[in-house]
Amino acid sequence: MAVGDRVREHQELVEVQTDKAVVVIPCPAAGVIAELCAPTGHRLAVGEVLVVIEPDGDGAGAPAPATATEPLQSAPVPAAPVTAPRAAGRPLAAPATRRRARELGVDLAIVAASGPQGRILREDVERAAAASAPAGAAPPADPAAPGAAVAPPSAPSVPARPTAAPSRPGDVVRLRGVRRAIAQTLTRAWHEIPHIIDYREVDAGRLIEARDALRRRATERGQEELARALTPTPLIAAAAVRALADHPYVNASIDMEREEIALHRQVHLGVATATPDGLMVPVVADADRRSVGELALEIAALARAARERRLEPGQLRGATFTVNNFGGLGVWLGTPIIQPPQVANLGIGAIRDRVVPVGGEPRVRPVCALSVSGDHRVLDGDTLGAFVSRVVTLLEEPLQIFKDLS
Amino acid sequence: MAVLNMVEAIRSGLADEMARDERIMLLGQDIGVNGGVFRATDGLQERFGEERVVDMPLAEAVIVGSAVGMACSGLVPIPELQFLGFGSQAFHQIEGQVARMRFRSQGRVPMPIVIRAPFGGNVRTPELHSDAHEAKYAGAAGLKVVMPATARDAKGMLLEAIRDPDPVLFCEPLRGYRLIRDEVPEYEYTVPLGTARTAREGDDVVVVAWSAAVVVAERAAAQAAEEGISARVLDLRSLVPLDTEALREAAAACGRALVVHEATLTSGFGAEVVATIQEEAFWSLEAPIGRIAAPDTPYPIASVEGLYVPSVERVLAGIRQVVGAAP
Amino acid sequence: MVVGELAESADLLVLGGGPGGYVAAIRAAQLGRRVTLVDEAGPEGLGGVCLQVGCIPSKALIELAATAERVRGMGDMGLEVEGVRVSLERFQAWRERLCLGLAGSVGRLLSAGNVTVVHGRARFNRPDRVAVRTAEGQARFFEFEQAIVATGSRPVELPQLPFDGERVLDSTGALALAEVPSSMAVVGAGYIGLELGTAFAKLGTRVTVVEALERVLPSVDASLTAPVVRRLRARGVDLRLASTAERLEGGQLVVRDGDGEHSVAAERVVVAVGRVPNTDDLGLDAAGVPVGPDGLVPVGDDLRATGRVAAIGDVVAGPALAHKASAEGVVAAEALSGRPAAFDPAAIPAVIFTDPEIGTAGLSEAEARADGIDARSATFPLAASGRAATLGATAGFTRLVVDAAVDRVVGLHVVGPHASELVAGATLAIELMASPEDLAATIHPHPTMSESVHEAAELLLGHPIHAAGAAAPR
Repeated sequence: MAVGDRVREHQELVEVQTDKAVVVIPCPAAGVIAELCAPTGHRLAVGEVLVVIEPDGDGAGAPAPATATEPLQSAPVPAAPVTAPRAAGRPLAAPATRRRARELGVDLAIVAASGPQGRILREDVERAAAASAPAGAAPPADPAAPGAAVAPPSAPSVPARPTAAPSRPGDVVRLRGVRRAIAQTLTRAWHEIPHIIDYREVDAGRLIEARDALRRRATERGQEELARALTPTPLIAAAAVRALADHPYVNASIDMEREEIALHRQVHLGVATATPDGLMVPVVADADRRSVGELALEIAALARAARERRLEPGQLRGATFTVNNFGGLGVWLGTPIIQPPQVANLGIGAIRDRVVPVGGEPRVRPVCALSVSGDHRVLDGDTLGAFVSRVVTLLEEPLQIFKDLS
Repeated sequence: MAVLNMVEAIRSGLADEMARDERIMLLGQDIGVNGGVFRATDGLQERFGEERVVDMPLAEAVIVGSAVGMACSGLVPIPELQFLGFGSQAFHQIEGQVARMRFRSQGRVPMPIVIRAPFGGNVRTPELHSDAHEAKYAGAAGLKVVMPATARDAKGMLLEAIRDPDPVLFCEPLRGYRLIRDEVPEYEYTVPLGTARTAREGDDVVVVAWSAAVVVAERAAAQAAEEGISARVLDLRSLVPLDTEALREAAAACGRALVVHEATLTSGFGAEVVATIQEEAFWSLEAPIGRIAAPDTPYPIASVEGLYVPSVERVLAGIRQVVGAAP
Repeated sequence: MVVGELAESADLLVLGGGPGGYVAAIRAAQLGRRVTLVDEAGPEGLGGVCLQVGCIPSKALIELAATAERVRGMGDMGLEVEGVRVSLERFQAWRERLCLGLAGSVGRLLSAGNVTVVHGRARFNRPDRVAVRTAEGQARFFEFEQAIVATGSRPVELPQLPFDGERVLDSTGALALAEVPSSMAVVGAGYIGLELGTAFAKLGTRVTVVEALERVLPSVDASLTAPVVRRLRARGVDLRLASTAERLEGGQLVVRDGDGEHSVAAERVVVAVGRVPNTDDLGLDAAGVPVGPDGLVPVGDDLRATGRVAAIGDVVAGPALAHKASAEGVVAAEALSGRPAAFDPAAIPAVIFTDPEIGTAGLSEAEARADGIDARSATFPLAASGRAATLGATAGFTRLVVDAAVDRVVGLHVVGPHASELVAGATLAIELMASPEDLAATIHPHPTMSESVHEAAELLLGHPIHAAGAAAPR
């Protein structure tokens, strides 16, 4: 966009990155761009003017170009109209509206304002309260449609992190948004699912060799992004996806009400990702039909999107199996919690040099610890163990992964 | 109905009964000119005269012993022990004469005496002043032991005790004198001795208490409710006679029981309550009966008395334990 | 005889019967709480500093002095009077009846709400208990479920000029004078010092104001103080800025400035250099209530300092003003009674009864800019106000400050006659996020000072009627 460009109403005008997401702002009126008030990449406070648009006059009768010095008469586009413009750090709301918000437990900072220039009306507060009530509640599972299962902790429709301010000891932080969704889902998971956990140590020497070889090849071909994305996680995920083909009960979901176990045709792979809002599990759809390289790129893209709060709700739904790399946190053996209605979660610990016996001799080898949780209602120790053994074999003989997948 | 605190209710009960029955006399230290160190007899000497409200020397055996003689002679004396803890000075008179005179004389010698005695802790009084010795007196056969927890009960049971031909030890919670306030009828009423009161409904566990501990038990029950535990509070009101039927009913309904008292644990009246519940309702019990009491030490200095007298926190912990809830 | 501490029960205990405490007590009673209010001054002293020795009596004295001066000064307008005299002795008798009557009204409001009033000095001695030394010298103990600390503040004493109730007075002492002194030195040019200095100057006292800073009224925008300073000087008040009061010497107060020491006439010295919160002798540590080095109690926006103790008014941060304390009293009572309540006003108005008066609501232009607001302002001179002309007081102005980004009023600043009456409307406009168009389109009655708000809005929009040739908004 440049000064003098003609724009239509509702045309996509500018991409604004807020704390929560990247929002495309549609043009509020048809006309000609009279002034761009900030260059691309510039940081604007909420409420500041982004652009001045002159009504599309027919040439001679066009009004004099408006300037930012007379914004009261112009038609400014406030930055990020999805949230209330802030003045002096306060959302714009009258005292009675503020009281109503307190009564309803609504944070005015996240209420979408319908009043003039960002003024929050009582109805806006009531709408926000109604909208946030069911947010985070998982939609019911539909076991008849494998793959379109339950939402893992997902971004609620109203983004609702209370404030960016760090919490101090003594504060009471409301359970809202992502945190509430996590709390509800994991409470259900922990209450309902009898977890059994299979702990294994894997010699990761060949895995690392294979990863290094793949990286070199990508670098040689100028695929820098792929080279960066090739961490152990996609390789282990690929091994798991391959193993699931032979162990259908691990790629399954359970419905106690219908008394059914659904064995899924496809593998939709959940990848647990730490974000500023809390744990999110974006999903690589049809992971069983992707190459290792595709998996690596997709996992990296989803993780970035999660951290930047750009995930669509659809990218958070439908996982049939989850991998969770907590090794990066320094964890050796973790306790993966299964997201209902899935029945397994593969946890990846840190890869560390350990002394292990090789041919009766002590050797220093890179060792990776796996902890794989299974739902004991579906999986017994032997069925889960067989799956994990297959994963271990694939990781120790990684060429087999590529045989089937690439 | 008027809202009175406990000391006002007791004063009102004494005045009403003295106006009704000329045989009633008050005896005690500082009760006349001074009006009582806790104001329980404030204005009564002025109203009823020095012959009926008599200041006595600092000698508990003399106070109670004089009352014994008056009772034998047809009067209705109400001696006051300034603190129950000093009642040991009069224990011979109480246990050896007051409690057994009617039995000993096959009913020929009357003993309609009411010994009033403040007791209990958490008011920054030192040891002896704060002691809860009710169980010693409950063991003195022939003596009734009354321990109200509300202003309404204090007046109603005081009237009942005065009119009862048997001797009564009437224990008043020091801590509740001004802290406990509730509605007291303006009409004449009495509350029968030997009937427990359900202070709070509930069906997961019954907390049995008396006197000031009832207030603590009620608060703990209210907090337990927030945790989803439904705790009933049974205020025994009198230890002798004991409302065994109410204990049986409550224990059977709840299946779990906890006893709370200010006295030290060993040989406290809680042991009697536990024994009674297991005799009456053993097959309804789902868990061992708990006891929350003072530790087996003399009453400590004021700065740590909050750790000694059963607190809301300790009773709540006891409730959780008896119902098997995680702490 | 050791008889222990037999506590009485108090559901909600309010410490202090000033405009914060008594309002909190009544609101809590309305919410069904059983309230006990402890006030040191007792039933006849209810209402606190504001009612007894602050706002109310000072405004009465100012009214008396201003009326006397106006009557004398209306010769031009045709008012012929002779021998206008002021008797401060009669004023004091009248003031006593006024304050007693108002305290009685507060007492009746409290008793109508079944609030128990205890006359004594309270001190926490446990997290849930206060000991009260009653006016009769007895000790009473109250065990509370919750408490509100509303004990207010007291004047700061200068070590070199300790209050003696005779020569060196605090504001209370000055308001109680039964004779007009021939000379008076007022130490401190804050609003209390200037209000008192102005009133006594009008009564004929030779007044010297001694202020350590370079300017008067540091709490308000400097531009507002210019008309006040002009009037003070015109009235003959000796305004000594950047000066400190050193000591008394005979009938003189020795004042030091950059040039050295000077003596000023001071039959009486009034020290008004600020106030300190009454939190130092409350036993707040026994209640687990923290107190900052400034004596203020840190609280959240529900005004709780701890789970069970709230604090309001002069003992918490913010301006030490009666209306702020009352507003906080309502919030504290509601928050402690389980209601969702928070003290988050868009603006706390302030009024200063100097000559001319100053009234402010919300932000000045400079404050707004400092807050990152795209602030614009328009200033309407009272020389163009018909009503000001009829009052014979055209010095001053009305200034409207707006946030141009969202088109709303964020401040109103008035210096001029009846300025104190204009700020309530402006505070409403700020709270309701009115735009300057809203103000311009609202009919303001003629002839009143309130028209100046309307004119300022028109000026801001660039089409003033009564300020010909006025510049476009700056």
